[in-house]
Amino acid sequence: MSTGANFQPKIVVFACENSGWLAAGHAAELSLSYPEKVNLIKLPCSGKIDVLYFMKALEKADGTMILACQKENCKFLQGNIRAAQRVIQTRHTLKEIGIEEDRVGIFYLAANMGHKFAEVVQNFYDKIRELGPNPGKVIK
Amino acid sequence: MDDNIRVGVFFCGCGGSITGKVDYEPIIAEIKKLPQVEYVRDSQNLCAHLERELIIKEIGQNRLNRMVIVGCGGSPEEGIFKDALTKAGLNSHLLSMVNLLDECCAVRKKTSLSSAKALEMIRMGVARAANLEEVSFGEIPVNRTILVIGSGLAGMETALATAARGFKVILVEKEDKLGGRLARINSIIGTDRKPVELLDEKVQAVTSNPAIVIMTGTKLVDINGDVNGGIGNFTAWLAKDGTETPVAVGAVVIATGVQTIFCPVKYGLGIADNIIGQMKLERLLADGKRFTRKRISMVIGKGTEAFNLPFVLAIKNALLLRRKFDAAVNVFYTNIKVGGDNWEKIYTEARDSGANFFKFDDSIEITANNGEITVSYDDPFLRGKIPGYYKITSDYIILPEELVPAEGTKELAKILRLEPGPTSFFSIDNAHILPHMTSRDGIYLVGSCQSPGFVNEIETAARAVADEIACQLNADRVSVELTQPYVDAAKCVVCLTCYRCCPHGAITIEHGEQFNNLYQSAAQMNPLACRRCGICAAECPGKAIQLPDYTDNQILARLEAMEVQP
Amino acid sequence: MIIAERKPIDEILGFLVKYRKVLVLGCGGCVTVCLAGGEKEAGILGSQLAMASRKEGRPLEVVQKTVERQCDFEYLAGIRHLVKEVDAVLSLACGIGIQTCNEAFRDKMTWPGVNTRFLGVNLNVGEWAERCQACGQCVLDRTGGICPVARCSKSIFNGPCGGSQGGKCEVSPDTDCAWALIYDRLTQLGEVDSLRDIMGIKDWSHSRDGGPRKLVREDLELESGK
Repeated sequence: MSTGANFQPKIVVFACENSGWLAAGHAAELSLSYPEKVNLIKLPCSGKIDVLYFMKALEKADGTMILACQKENCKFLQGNIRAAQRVIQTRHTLKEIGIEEDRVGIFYLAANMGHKFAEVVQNFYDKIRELGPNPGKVIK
Repeated sequence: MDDNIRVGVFFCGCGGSITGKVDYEPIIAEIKKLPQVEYVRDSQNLCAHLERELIIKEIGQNRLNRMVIVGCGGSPEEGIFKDALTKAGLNSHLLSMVNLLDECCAVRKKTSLSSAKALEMIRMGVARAANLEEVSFGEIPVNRTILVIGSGLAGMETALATAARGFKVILVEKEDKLGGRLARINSIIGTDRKPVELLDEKVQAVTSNPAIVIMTGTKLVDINGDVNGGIGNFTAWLAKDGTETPVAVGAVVIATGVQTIFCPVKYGLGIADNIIGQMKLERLLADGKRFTRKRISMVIGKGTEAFNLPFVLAIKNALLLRRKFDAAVNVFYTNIKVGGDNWEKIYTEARDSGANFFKFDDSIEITANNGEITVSYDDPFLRGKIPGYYKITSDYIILPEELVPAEGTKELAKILRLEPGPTSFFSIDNAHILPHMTSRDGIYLVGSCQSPGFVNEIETAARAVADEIACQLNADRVSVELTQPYVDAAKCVVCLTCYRCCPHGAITIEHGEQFNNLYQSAAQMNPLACRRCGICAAECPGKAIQLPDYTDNQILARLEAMEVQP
Repeated sequence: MIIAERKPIDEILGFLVKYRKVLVLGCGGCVTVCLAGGEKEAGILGSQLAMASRKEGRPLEVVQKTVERQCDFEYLAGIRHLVKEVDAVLSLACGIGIQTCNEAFRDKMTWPGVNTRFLGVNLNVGEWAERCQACGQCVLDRTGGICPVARCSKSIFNGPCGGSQGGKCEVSPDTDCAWALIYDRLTQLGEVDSLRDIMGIKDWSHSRDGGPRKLVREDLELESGK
């Protein structure tokens, strides 16, 4: 359950309402499969993601990501740029305490890319599986 | 936030799509145990009409004040349940949807984990619901006067179009006369109307319209001092003869146009009567010049490919020179950009009329000697068969001017807090949205100030912007749902971070006794100008800003409700 | 504005290694404005500490609170009960706030979570530059509003040193020579001739060199007038 071949990482996916969230819906329409322990949380724009959200997600999960609109395509012009900055800040914050930076990431896609959504989530899941369980999870 | 949260959780089987993969019974038993859950019911078709009627009754009977719908996540369905809330006397934002259909069922076969996942998702949905807040509507008084900057064709058309929709207009022009560059062109593509006639007609219409106030010799120097207002409530400072006057306006339309710079040095040439620019040619033709020496060469492309205008202009004039003066016209081009209404037709006609079109890659040499122009170039089509540089002699050489934003564009952009685009013209907001909007609601672009354009595009653009303004400023008091971020003044340190990072200039710093902090001041978001992206809320170092429906409490509560495995 | 920067995480973890429960105390004053120690930063740091300690296998319970500011005792009085329940306090306020906390809660150690860097201006989001050294005798009236104490690397008066090249200080090509700036500014104001008046030797006793400073205005004291 915790290590080895049976380890199934828990991933929290923050999804921008204009890109990732719709892509997830598209994936559902196409009945594409993606791993079980993925929780989706909708945001109005990727720019709403906060370092705090990532950190709180990682207190419970093994990996977390933000899905944003493709570069230069943010409906609010700068949201995905802010989001990328926060991912950098979070990676730094994780690195400081010796937790793998790759547990947080940002991926860009458009609303009609259901296949890409499934692919991105699956690839991230596989990567987190290799990293193993998050040593920083806070179990009360 | 009331202490007495009473959550109703309604499970929908979605006609078997969910219940085929997830067993509701044990889940319902668990959810009933949650402290704030007061009522639970399941059904196969919650969105059916009779079910909705029942839900409204159940809300009343059980005094519920939050609702969780476990089922799908579609927008139409969300609308149905929001409507049910409203009919039950509750605020429509007190709804949390848990999308089991997509996230749990559609994407995988039934496994042993499906029910555990569903339970976790529903717990997260209930946690969010417990933190939901009401959102009300507000009425914002707006000013229905429109400021139009620039009185060229774009400015005049916009003034007329907005006046026609019942607005008052202040038309500001920095020169002493109206009309911009319209008097300087010779012909308009697609119509036989003379530009001078069009100009006279528009000037007459604008000056005789009682809703339009014209201010010549006037410039915009500031808007709301150092903190800009938003759509519906701008204070524009207009300067004339050294005096500055404030005017209250609801929207600003920029129609400042373009300027042309003739730069023959780029082609290795100097100043001479027979070395002229395309716009200069227009002027000469409009003034009635007759071409007696009739060998005319034109160059297009070569470093000026950013806009369509120079290409179409050259082809239009090539055709005109052929037809009017029977001139021998040679057009040297790197590219022919005729992707527009009827432009291909003009190109075909120009070729059919006998104008010569010679393609060159990059190397072209133009020399002027004793009143004769020699163009020497390397032809990529003939290179294979007959290599070498070809020379063509002519009497005139017509070159494209540089198209740059009108003088004062950079200053104006700074005053209005707008970013220039990659070509240094005003940047439109987003390719997918109305192409006359800027990043700030209430500030619009018409005409060449955004990208050098054509006369026939201007009228459409002016009407589009007038319609958009009429939509936004649809009454003296505009009703708007107050879903913009709100600020807890006690936590706001007025650090200006949100003000600086808002892409839409929708944040102002307000002062007043109602702000209970030591500055008696806090950031405020304009409900009409704010686009609800939430960037400010995320940037705020004091966590003073919350975005309704996406508050920190709502999101963190969901994370809190997640299971953690070792 | 006081500009501070969070201390490296290793240092902080080192301070807290012997505790079981800690209060991370943010400050709503200068450190919020310079994005170093406000409520948001306190939240993120709290999460970091919880996760880091988890990872080391010594779970640390973190409680979090942000007060209006930590340089007035009244604001600290409100968290007395919180401090009782923890082993130690980690303050993200500037050096002033950290010390005030230690004075207010004598039986617990309040550790510094930030390095207080300097007094400076906010040039842009994320960019701050030193402007004042609180020397106690402001000479900005004589230098066109540009400070030779804070902005000159040697704090010299009466003109640049020999290391001034192209308007830049020899210490770093990114640092302007303050005296070049002063000269240009006074020229712009038409006052450059005033530089011919030699500024006398500065009395540094008004600055740090006179020992820790104190200011008392008797006319404002609550006891005065009695």
